[in-house]
Amino acid sequence: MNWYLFWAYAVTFLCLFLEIAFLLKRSRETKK
Amino acid sequence: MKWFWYASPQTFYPLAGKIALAGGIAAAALALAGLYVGFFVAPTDAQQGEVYRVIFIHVPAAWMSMFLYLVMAFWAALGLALNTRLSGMMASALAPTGALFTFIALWTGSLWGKPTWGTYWVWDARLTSELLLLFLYLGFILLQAAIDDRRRAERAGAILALVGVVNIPIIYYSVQWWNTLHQGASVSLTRAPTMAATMFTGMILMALAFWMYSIAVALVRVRCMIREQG
Repeated sequence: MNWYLFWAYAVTFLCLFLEIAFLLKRSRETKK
Repeated sequence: MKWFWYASPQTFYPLAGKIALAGGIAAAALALAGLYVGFFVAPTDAQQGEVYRVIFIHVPAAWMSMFLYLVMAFWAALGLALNTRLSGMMASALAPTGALFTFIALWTGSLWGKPTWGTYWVWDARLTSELLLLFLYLGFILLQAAIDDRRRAERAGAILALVGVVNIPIIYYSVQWWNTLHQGASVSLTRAPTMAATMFTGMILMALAFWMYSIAVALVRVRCMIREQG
C-alpha cells in the first residue's frame, strides 16, 4: 500500500462527498 | 435556443435541475471508468512506481481549478455589464467548487512531491501562483459573505474575480517563464501527450468526470440560491 497515494485519493473523495452532502442538506432546507 | 428567456432565474430553475441530474450521473459513470483505467489498466511507471497514479486526480483538479476561475470571472463580468441576476448567482455558485479543486490540486501535488521531489512544498512559480488562486477564490467567497447588500456584494466580488484573472496565464505559463521544480505540461493542445496512451485515457476520463461534477454541483447550488432569494 502506497500511503501517499492513499491519502491523496482519500482526502479528495472525502472533500467531494462532503461538498455533495452539505449541498443536499442546504437544498433540503431551502425546499421547506 | 432562447438565451435571454433562460437568463431569468425562474425559467432557468427547472432546466438547471435536469442538467444537474444528467451531469451527476455522467460524473459518477466517468469517474468509475477513469478510476478503473487509472488503477487496473494503466501500467506502473518505470521510474516513479505507483505514486504516479496521483496524476489521475491531480492534473484534472488543477485544470478545473483554472477553468472554473475563468468561467466564474466570465459570469461575474456578464453580471457587471448586463446586471442580470442569474449571472451573479452563477459566479457565486462556482467559487466554492473552484476553491475545492484548487485545494485538491495542491494537496495531491504535495503528496506526490514528497516521494518524487523529496519535499511536500517549494515556493516555485507554479506552486505559489496556484496557492494564490486558492486565496483569490477564498477572498471572493469571504468578500461576498461580508457584504449584506446582495447587489453590492456581487459587484465587489465581480471586480475581485476580474482582477484575479491575470493569475490564470501566470499559473499556466509559469513552468515555461520561470525555472520551476514543477515539470512542464505533459498534455497540450498543440502536440501529442508525452505519456502512455492508457495513462492519458485515465486522465481524460477523470477530467471529464470532474467537469460533469462541477456542472452538477454548481447548478444545484444555483437552484438553492434561487429558492433562497426568491
